[in-house]
Amino acid sequence: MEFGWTPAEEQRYQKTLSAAGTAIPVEAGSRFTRAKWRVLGELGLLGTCVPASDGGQGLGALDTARQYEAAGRGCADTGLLFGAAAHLFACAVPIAAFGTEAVRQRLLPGMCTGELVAANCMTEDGAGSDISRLAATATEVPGGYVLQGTKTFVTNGPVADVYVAYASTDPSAGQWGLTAFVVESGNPGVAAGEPFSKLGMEGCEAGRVTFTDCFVSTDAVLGAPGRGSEIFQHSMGWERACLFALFLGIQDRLIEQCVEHARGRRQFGRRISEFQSVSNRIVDMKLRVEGARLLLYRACWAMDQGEPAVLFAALSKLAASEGALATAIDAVQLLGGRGYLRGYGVEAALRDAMGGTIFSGTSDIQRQLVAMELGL
Amino acid sequence: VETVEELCTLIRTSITWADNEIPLDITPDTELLAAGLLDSLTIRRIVANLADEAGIAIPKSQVVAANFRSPDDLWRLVREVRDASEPAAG
Repeated sequence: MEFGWTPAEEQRYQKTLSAAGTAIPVEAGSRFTRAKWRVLGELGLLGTCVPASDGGQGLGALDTARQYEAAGRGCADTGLLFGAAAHLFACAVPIAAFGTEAVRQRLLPGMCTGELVAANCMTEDGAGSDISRLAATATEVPGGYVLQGTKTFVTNGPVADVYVAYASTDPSAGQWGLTAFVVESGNPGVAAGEPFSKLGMEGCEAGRVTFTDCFVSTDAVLGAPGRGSEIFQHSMGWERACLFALFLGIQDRLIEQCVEHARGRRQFGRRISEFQSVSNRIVDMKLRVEGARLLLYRACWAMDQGEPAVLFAALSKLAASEGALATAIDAVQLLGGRGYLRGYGVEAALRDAMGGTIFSGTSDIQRQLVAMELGL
Repeated sequence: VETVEELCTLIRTSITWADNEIPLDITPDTELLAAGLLDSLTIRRIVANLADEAGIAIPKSQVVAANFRSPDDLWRLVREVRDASEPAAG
């Protein structure tokens, strides 16, 4: 058992923490820009776990998670960082692991630098948690496939250059009939819809993407026909473990804000930190984040060891996402009027945290996975 | 699970039927995947129930379409797993 970091790991964390705090200006309601995206590329957040031979940093799951944790603590534009994580874990990771040499060489270097934006297209109006019956189809034709269908809740969808899209190539084979494709936005038949207006994560654009008679070559298939479900689970494994490190960093930042406020604000002639109702609330925040942190590192460690990580990834996703939501509510309560007003960043953290309990597998699905792992 | 008919019963009870849905009869040649009867949770439930009720551990590498298209296909796998786990005669 080793809880320490090497000097190189600690230096990397501090560097990202400091740079994320200064390089990305955060304004209330700020939206996605290519300039901010390229800064993420310079910080190494768009290719953290992509092999160095494909243009990335080549870090493992634990080191990658630690970089996202630093970014989440340093930068309050959670939507932008969430878009980066979705680009990395649900697009770059499967392209690096399952793409052909030609596709990897053409796309990954640009995806790592921030020249390209990628988006994962899985969810449909009728297929959220249950992906075994996708309506989108890909029909084999000479030289490739023709895609038909509409995807929704596509993170980065309205601004993406590259899509990783899932469609059924064999409707008679259930979950084994799905195939993953890489589709570039300039491809005829690809149309991205308008950005959704949503509760939080304003720095990230999300919307529908429609494929109409969209021809892609055989080279666009990730892995092999029928491996889509397996590839998607591979991406979700990375998302559930590493992406939610972002929410650890957010909780660290909220706790720092609450400690500073509780120590500085005086009511009834004393600092409000002297009221146990206030200090205990911060203690509970700390308890949540440290428990989630251990679970998340445990899940990432299992991934780096090549061990099954389903149980710990599900537990850590639950702990980090629900912890972030509970802590954001507590932070709004603790900061009172300042927590409720826009401009102090705390109300945005509350709105941003809600999404974390829904995407990458809802809390209900994570509990279902844990129950099954327990043999229930 | 000693017969393919008992396996059909196990599959039928592993499927979550909607309140307004009459559970279908599952026969050895029912096209489980083509009929859309198996989602990912149901497949995990069938594998878990085979382990709990019959002590048959389906290897993860065998959880593939070819073994779940029909009860007959799964029955063939169950017998292979069972034969492989029994000590050789003599």
